[in-house]
Amino acid sequence: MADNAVRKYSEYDHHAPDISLENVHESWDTLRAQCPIGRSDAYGGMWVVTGYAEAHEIFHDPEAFSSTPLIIPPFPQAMKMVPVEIDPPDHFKYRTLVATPFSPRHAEKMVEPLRVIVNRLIDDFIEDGQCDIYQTVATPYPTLMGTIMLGLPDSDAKLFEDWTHKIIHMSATDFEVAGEAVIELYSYFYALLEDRRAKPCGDMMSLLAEAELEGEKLTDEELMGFCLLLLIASIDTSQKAIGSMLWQLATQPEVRTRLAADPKLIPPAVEEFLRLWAPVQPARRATRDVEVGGIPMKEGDQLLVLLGAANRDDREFPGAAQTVLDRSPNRHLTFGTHIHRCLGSHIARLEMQVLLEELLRRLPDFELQDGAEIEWSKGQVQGVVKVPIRFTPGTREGA
Amino acid sequence: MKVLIDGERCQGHGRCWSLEKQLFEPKDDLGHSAVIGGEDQSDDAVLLAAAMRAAEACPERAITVFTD
Repeated sequence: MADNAVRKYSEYDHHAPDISLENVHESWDTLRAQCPIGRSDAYGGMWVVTGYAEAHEIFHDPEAFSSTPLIIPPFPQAMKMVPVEIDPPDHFKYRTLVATPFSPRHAEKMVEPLRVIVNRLIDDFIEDGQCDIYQTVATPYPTLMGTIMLGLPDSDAKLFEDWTHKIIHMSATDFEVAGEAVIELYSYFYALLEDRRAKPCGDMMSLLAEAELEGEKLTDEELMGFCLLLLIASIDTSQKAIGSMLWQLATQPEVRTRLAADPKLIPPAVEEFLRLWAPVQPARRATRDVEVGGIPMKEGDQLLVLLGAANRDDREFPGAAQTVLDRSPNRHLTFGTHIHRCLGSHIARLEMQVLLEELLRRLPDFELQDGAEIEWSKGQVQGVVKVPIRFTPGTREGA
Repeated sequence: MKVLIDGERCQGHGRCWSLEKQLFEPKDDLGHSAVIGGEDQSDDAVLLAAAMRAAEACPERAITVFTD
């Protein structure tokens, strides 16, 4: 690969303050047009991957590309997130421990509870004719779903959101604040797991408290690793994906109209929104000298794999920048690929489908308010985080 | 036709069994897929189209469809 092309990435920083929705996708396209893997000087130096085939190849070689650390620069937690930051050969036995609560069967059972949650959230603002739907829906919906899945009290939702935000979005800028959040999160789960050991009740926390690997109970480190990942993976990621999807719907009435007229399009449309708005941009670390896409990498090299960019690679997705609601094939990388494929993917898809069904039913004419400023969350969990809308007021359906 | 799932490649994304419920189903909690009724399927054109759509949708390229 021509060295000058690779060096076009030299100033790339996923936390750069000037990243916005107006420039983020275009900047990826510009970089990818140079070469699908480039070299940034940020954070001690990292390879930045914008190509689909290259991202796919890297993910498919967990021996050469460890998923520890997943984050650049790393979160202030000493323990690995489990199972995402565990490599083979141990990875699979950790993943299997939590398979059942995330199974397709269990996900299906969540559909009606999710519908109830969405309608309750909509009831809270439906009479007002306007709101920031990122605040009223995108933020609480995944949090409430997460509390159900994990068996946590929804009265603690604000705590989880606060810690999640600090850990994911402030580790790069205010390490101490993020570090305190990690400690608070660990204390909370430590106490909760003690409680479940004494009084198991069949929920996810009880499952973890009682889980055994090769005859041994999980260590504190392993348990905290699970808890941290379960919390942040279910909340922050979905909030951003949903925020971005809602922004698109609020600004593209033709898409809203088409979906309202043909609800069978909702599942493939959700796939297309997932492709366009992939929130998670994970990292990898080379465990040995290895070559990818013509680039020789050294043992220890960091890689930032921009799944959002890979999902917009024309080589895999013709007309990648266009929204094609029934796009096929649509083998996007939003939930990852290979052994770390997101366990929450089944439930996340249903979460988004149910949301669209109910939103289009209850406030079909919602649109972005005039002069609304777009706010884009950058870093390794990206998305639109402010969506001020107006709509014809409706009536509450619940008590 | 024959519809084969490479069990080593399948990672339980579930695109196949979400899209083509008449042909695929999850076989375990991790979402790994199985062809309903086994790998030997009729040569029906509608079924073939469904199998091709599912093969095309798999991010792991785990599905292969063989026709005579």
